[in-house]
Amino acid sequence: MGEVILRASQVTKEYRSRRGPLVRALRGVSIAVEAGRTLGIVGESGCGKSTLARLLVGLEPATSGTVELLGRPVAPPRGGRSPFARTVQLVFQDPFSSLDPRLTVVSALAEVLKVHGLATSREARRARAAALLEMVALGPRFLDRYPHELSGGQAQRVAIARALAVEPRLLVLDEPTSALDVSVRAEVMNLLVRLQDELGLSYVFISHDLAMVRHLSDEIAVMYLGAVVEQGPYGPVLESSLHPYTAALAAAVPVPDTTRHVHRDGRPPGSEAPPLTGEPPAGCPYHPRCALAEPVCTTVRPTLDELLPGHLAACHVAARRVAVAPGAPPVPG
Amino acid sequence: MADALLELRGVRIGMRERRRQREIVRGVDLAVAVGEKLGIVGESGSGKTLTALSVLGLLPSPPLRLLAGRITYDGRLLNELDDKALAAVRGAEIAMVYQDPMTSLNPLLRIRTQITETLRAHGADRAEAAERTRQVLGQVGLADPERVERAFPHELSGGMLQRVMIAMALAGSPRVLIADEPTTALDVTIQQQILELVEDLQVRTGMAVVWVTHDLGVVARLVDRVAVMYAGRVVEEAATADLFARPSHPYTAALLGSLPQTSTGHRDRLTQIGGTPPDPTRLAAGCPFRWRCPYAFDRCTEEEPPLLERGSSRAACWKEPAAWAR
Ligand SMILES: Nc1ncnc2c1ncn2[C@@H]1O[C@H](COP(=O)(O)OP(=O)(O)OP(=O)(O)O)[C@@H](O)[C@H]1O
Ligand SMILES: Nc1ncnc2c1ncn2[C@@H]1O[C@H](COP(=O)(O)OP(=O)(O)OP(=O)(O)O)[C@@H](O)[C@H]1O
Ligand code: SF4
Ligand code: SF4
Ligand SMILES: [Mg+2]
Ligand SMILES: [Mg+2]
Repeated sequence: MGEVILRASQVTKEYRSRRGPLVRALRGVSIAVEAGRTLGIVGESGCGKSTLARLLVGLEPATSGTVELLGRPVAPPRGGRSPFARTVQLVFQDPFSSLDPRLTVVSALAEVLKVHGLATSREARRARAAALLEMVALGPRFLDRYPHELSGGQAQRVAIARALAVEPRLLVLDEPTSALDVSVRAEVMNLLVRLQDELGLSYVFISHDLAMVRHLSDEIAVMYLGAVVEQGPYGPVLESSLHPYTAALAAAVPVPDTTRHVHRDGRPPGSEAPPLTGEPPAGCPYHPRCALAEPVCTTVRPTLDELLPGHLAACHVAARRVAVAPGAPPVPG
Repeated sequence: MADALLELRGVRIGMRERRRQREIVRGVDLAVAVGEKLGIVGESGSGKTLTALSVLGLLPSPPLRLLAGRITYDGRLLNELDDKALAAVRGAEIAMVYQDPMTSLNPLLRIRTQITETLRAHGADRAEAAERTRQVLGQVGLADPERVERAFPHELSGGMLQRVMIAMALAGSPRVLIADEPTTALDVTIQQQILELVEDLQVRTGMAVVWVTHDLGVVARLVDRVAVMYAGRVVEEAATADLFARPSHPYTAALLGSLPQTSTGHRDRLTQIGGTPPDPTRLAAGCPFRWRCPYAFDRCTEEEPPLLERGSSRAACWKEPAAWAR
């Protein structure tokens, strides 16, 4: 095992809004990221991925549990800058909301460079900003643009460039390629791989794009209703999934087929997810939608256990199948 | 093709400066008929969002404006309507799902208020509006519509917001839905549900759909016809099956070639189109793809190709696909 740079232990997050119900966005998440490696995070919309991302970089405090960066707690910055601002950077899911509308691209980049003492003169900062833009396939003509003068994909790339500007050791990327065409997406992915190889960066890569998650990640954590339900090396998690939810997720990916017009693999898991408010359903949180559910699933909540070496899952049926026949695929097609 | 319900002809968008005009969208023609689904794909920054915004007069102006062109809806020239008349078309007849939800949602108002207000502006009474709001929020696969209704935008996840935007657009039962990257924050299962909902409405009510997306899987799954944009123009237009089977423009071919292959190894280099797109406001004569095109020849530097017939498709390229293999 390499050096663990980020570790979250039993993190929970609750939101209580005005007159609204209590929302349990995270219900005890533990993850670790090693230096130079990528942890992919997948899971359906609303399962808590962006919330986890904000907690990991110290933007919000956890309700309980701890997040440690390089062995020290990531305290939420009280007004000032986090002591970790140079160690870890977050690329937000919504790039426009993370860019200051009053700053041109060059000012936004120059500001972070200046704060961290990374380029001393004005000219040096402008040159560095241009080089950063070039890395994300944007020419120098974008230096003097305001955020509202950028397209969705251009704003997303500016946000990535700004995160890279401080030369962080860990990047938390929340849907970083969702607004990019497939060619630019390939370019950004190639950049991320190259930076990791050259500088040993670590990534937490959150995306609905399973092909990209698979491409970049060493490990994948699958989240469902605020908890990790499966975790392990990318291949086994996606190709011999232990948890029925992961299997359904991996089977539902539509493939653009160049010979046949429409190509659809698999069907989405039945009904909708139960709400995050109120008491969580008794037993396994996935049981209302699970084709393999058994009586025990409605009463006993499965724990996240290491069922195969390095491969964890929270599922009664998977645990039993693995115990009976360790070689057989846990979730049959 | 059946008569167009919504038609754009020669749409040019840009800035008018003292001495000259700077064009970002440089003459776009598009049309959708009743019950038809048109996809718009293309390079990031090619003008897809600006084209979509121009339909309902929503361009950020100043500085941007419709420099030329005609936008007709159901026989009416939209670009000559006054603000009040346009506001009546917006939402009730043509609805839009914006690429950036936060630009169109008010951060200070609950979701319920925002949807019911739009409905009431189009004549629904209080009870009808409340009922309809609940109904559409239920249709877009939100697990907890009651909480979502009462929430403020910042209390929702990216994908929840996208579904609120879709619900809001569908609430007024529009005849045309223009959706700009509406499912980027949705997992495939919920995305599927949304596509099914849209298809159902299209079949039942004849709603026409314009779907802007980078997701070629969604294109293959949803739309009948595709327009491919590059540097402010439509460079190819084709039936969906033809586009995938026989791309007629080198940019389309390169885009399809950038799709990840199952044979690409973990962390191996992904195929990308080399070079960078040109600044559409500073184009010299010739084809704007020529710096990146493997098939460029003399004529490509002299003259920009118009859309030419290529079998059942149309492509803005001087060279026929048969002549690509040099
Ligand atoms: N500030 C907040 N107040 C109340 N609830 C919140 C707040 N922030 C997030 N939530 C809730 O927490 C849950 C998890 O949201 P989160 O944004 O983490 O989901 P996500 O997995 O990133 O989803 P998506 O894939 O749609 O982006 C959602 O139900 C959301 O409504
Ligand atoms: N207000 C503005 N002033 C100047 N240029 C602008 C303005 N708004 C957009 N642009 C430019 O116009 C071009 C087209 O933008 P548009 O948002 O339509 O692109 P897009 O095709 O939707 O791209 P994406 O796929 O990244 O969303 C972009 O290059 C953008 O930088
Ligand atoms: S524990 Fe039971 S309900 Fe939960 S995923 Fe496993 S089989 Fe399905
Ligand atoms: S016109 Fe010439 S440069 Fe342009 S796409 Fe066709 S072959 Fe390539
Ligand atoms: Mg999110
Ligand atoms: Mg756009």
